[in-house]
Amino acid sequence: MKSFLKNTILFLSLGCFFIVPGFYWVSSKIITPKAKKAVYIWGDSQMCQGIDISYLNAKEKYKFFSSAQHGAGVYDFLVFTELVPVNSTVIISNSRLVLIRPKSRDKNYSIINIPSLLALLRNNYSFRETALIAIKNLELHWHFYDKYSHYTNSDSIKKNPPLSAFEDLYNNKLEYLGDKENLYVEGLQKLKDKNCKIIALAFPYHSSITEIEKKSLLKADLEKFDTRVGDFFEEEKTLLLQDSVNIFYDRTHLNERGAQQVSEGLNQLPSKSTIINIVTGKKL
Amino acid sequence: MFEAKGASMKKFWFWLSVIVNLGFLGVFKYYNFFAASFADALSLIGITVHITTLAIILPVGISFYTFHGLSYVIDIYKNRIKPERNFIDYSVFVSFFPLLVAGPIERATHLLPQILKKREFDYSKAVDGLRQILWGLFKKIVIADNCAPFANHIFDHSASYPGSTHVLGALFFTFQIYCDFSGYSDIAIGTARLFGIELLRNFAFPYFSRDIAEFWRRWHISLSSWFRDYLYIPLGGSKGGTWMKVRNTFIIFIVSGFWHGANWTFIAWGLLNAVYFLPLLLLNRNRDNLETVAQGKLLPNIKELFSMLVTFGLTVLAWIFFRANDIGHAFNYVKEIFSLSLFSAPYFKNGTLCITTVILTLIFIIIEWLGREQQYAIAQMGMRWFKPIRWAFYFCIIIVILAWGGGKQQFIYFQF
Repeated sequence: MKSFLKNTILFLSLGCFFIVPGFYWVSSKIITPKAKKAVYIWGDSQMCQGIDISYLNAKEKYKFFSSAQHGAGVYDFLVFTELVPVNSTVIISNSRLVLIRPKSRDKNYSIINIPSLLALLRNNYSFRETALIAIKNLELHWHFYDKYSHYTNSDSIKKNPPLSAFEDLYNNKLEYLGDKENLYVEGLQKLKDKNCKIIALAFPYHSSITEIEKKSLLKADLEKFDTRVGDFFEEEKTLLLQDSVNIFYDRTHLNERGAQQVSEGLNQLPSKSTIINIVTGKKL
Repeated sequence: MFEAKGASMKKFWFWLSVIVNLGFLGVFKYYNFFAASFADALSLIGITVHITTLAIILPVGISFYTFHGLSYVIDIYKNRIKPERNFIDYSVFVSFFPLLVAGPIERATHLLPQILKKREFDYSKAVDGLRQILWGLFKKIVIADNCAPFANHIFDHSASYPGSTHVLGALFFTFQIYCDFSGYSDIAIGTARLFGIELLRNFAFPYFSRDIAEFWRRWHISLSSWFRDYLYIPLGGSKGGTWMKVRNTFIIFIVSGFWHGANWTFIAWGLLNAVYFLPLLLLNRNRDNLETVAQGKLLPNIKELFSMLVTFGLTVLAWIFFRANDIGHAFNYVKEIFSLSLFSAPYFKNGTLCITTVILTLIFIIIEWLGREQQYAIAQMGMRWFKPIRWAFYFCIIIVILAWGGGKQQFIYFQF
């Protein structure tokens, strides 16, 4: 019995502390693509739908790799910041929904990354929440892609999800908001430490959502957060989208036309870390 | 029953016990099927009846523990064992957790003495148990759960695909059901071994069988042997004339199909296997292949390979009936396989994603082949290797389970 327990403990310790983490560490190196003038993209659905990777890659100037995914969470962002090489150029989404969406609805599906999991624990994610995220991320998959199918063009925008869903989020004091903000800032700091050039895209929302935010209980918190984030950037720019025809798919996502315009706007990448506020020509 | 005075009283208690046991199974599992079939039959002759069906949830593993309990009753009736008077020991026999929901179906003569005996910790048994659990997890999580989405998709959308895709779907299901069920059995047997209890072997590399008789000696062994001992032999087995052999063979395979569920697809599956088996029995060839194929050799000879492929092909064909949504679906599925579309290139939605699954399944087949003379594929694998290398092998399996495990899928046999 003694030798069984000794060997079991030794086997489990080796597995838990060296072999399995080592495997995911090596895998994360393998799944991160490398290229000359590589640009790495992270974001949630706004980024997935708001940027045309195929168009950008056709320009041959840079090689764009995206790990943006619908419902991306702060864990995904932390993993992204761990994966990208030093001195990279990164394009990230400065999305409100990543912050205010309940933790349980975050996708958080990237790869096992121990420093990122520890960051969650440090920022008031419970052991159970962190363990669930870890289990979800055991499965190995290609994390970066270089093409994506976009929402189709239409003359009107979809009304789903209903506005009440956004009102529910904005009109509640969200206990987790501060934790998510801290984690996002931690990720930005990581990128800065790696000497990355950071380009943050703030995609437009429908005016009805902007109105909700203006009156919301979270307004002060979110403004304070914007100031914190602003410290990581050297300049702020505006990208104006032509909206003589509808460029939105729904209240939060651009359609193909919108994505095309954003991508054209990124033909010339800024030379330093920049926030790009994407705005529309007229009120939606 | 054991203390009953006179044979007729003994028989009375025996049949009462059998009826009660089968009664539960009948109500929970078969009532709706018989009621609906009865109504359908009457409607064929123009009589419309409205029969009340039961909206009840089938208790998990009911077929397993009913047969488990039946074996106890029959063995006492046949004076093979004495009744257990300690309620706790009897309860452990009936509800021993590793085998409660999906077997192996134990015999009282095999399990009860082990429960009654004082057990001591045995290092090699415990390690062997853990090794078998690991292999069971690999089969279930890596192979079965990765094959399942492809099999489900192709079977559920079979009308949109050519015969070649149907073949792929049937192959995915063939590996899914084997790895799902034998994986569970390995986990159950390994867990029991940790407690010092040896359960009956349930699978012995059935897809390397050279004929259907051999397949049935290697597939779901605890159920096949249960039917052999408690149904086939009491019916006369293969001792009687040709007619009795034919009758008994059909009875045992149809009952075996019906045991899986109240659906014509299972009955058709059983019938088809009876049709496969019968020629071997009538020609007295059913015990030709008692040894493991290519024993002591690395590769089979041409004849063995051909026999294995034919048997495997017949098995795959039978699984189509097992998996199909209904009997019409099964026939349409098979019809498409035997059409010209069999020769077109197979395709299905997200088909390129199956490459990883195919590679993992090929690796699995190689490991199973190399370990086919053992109790389970990795039982002796690496035993002579330097310990760190053997551990590295186990870590590789663990990592494959973690990194390439399929999405969560319910064990197929839990529904039985």
